[in-house]
Amino acid sequence: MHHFFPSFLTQIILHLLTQIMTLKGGTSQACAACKYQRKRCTPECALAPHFRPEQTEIFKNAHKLFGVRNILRILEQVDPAMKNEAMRSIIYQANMRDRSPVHGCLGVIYQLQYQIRQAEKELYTVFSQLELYKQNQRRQQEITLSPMDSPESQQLQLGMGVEQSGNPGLTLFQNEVNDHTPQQPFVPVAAFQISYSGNENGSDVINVDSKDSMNMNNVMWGQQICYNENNDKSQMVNTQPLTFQDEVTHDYDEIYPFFDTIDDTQSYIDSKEANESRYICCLSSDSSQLKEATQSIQHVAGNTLKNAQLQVNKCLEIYGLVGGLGFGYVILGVLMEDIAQIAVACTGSELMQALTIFLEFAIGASELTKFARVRTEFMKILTMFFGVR
Amino acid sequence: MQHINMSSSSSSTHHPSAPCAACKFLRRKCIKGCVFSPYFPPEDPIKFTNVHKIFGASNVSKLLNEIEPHQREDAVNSLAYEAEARLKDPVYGCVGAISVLQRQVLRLQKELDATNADLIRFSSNQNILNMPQTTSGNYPQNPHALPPNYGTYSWNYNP
Repeated sequence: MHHFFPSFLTQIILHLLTQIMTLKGGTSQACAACKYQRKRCTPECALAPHFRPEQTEIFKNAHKLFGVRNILRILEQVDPAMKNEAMRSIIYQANMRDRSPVHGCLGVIYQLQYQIRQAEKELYTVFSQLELYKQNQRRQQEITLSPMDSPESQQLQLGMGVEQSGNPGLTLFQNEVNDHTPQQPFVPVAAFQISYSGNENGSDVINVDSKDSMNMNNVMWGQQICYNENNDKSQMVNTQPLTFQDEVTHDYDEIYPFFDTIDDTQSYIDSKEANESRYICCLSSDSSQLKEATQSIQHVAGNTLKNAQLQVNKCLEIYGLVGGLGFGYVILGVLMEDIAQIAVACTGSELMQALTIFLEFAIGASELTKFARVRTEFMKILTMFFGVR
Repeated sequence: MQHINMSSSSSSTHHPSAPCAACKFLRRKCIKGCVFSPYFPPEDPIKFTNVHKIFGASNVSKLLNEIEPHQREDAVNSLAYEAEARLKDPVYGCVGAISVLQRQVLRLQKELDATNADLIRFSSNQNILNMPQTTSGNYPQNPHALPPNYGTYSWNYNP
């Protein structure tokens, strides 16, 4: 056939081919897929556009999980326009499986769900805190409008008998709480600045609505998805997942029944130790702050009232309550005076216990209308702890 | 290896010689040491069908053999999930879910940053980070700081 070609054309073609090969740095290389399979990479190779010659490791992962035949089958099923995206997802999935042979992509999903849960909790607490500040600001504006010496304003200052209408501060975020801990009520812990760690039980099947994924025109191939071939294969933490979009409305009255059960003085005093641990474990899994507070309190020797006040102050500071509870420092001051007077007579650990309980109450009592009840409960508990005065 | 029904489904144990879903599908004898049988009970044939369609039985068995036995159930469940996701969405598979979740994380993070900024603005406006330094004995100038002298309140503790 060659003699039908004018010789000059042949020369031109050869020349062009040489140019091309030189540009490519030698003979054109087989794609990673064909290299792996040790076969000739033809121009029709379906995998060549997706696996550059140097991506041997990536192809190896994809091949290990899917196999060539299955990859090709998937590619055939999708629109030609979406082939690149499909291939990217296949590669990503295979890389995740390589990184975590047990959980694969599901591990990533678990982790993301956990992050979402944590972020939602944090958002909830920040929102509630913000709302408290706003409420407080509004109340302060009301107070400054009225004269200071009138009994009404005194009442207002002390927080008694104020009818609070409208939305309670902590329900702002109620439709976004996502929490499945049956054993503890969800208590906003921003004031404690301690992360709330729940122990969820049970793993739910994750049902992905395929509509979600189909609505995306471009998948977010963000930072977290980048797979570096040199990543070391660390096992992913298997945190239990929740179902998507599971919304729980939180009712803050949950916290009260807990304390309503403490009416039996005798049994309460008898099981003081058990209750202490129950209260303290409700607060946080981070015991270092608690320890620090306890130690600082136990250094109060020969309690004077002033010393006790200072120690209580320090406690609240450690818990981040200074500047935390916007519902009224006036109220807080009153209660602290109560604590301080009692604190004169008690030991460090007893004071710690009382404070712990008080703080739980304080966190729950976001509205002024609850103040009276809070105070009553608080006094009950102090009485139980330290005996009738 | 004793054939044990380790499936998480609540079905009662089947006859020891009944083939697992995998061997049923592949039309072969389910031997005693079948790697699939603990995780693909005959009651749930779809599970294996899906997994085989996407990954292939040989890949799955290779994968399982590389993992510790106590982790195999998790592995099979994750594969089953991924296979189902890929069947529902051939383009993105389970990666679609990951993308949705990542977007959600970013959105929440942005919201958190914005709200934290609000909070900081509020707290700095209200100057609540000041600790009371002196005992003034009067109503505190800054009502949001802790009252320096608790004795100013007429409220006494009466049991």
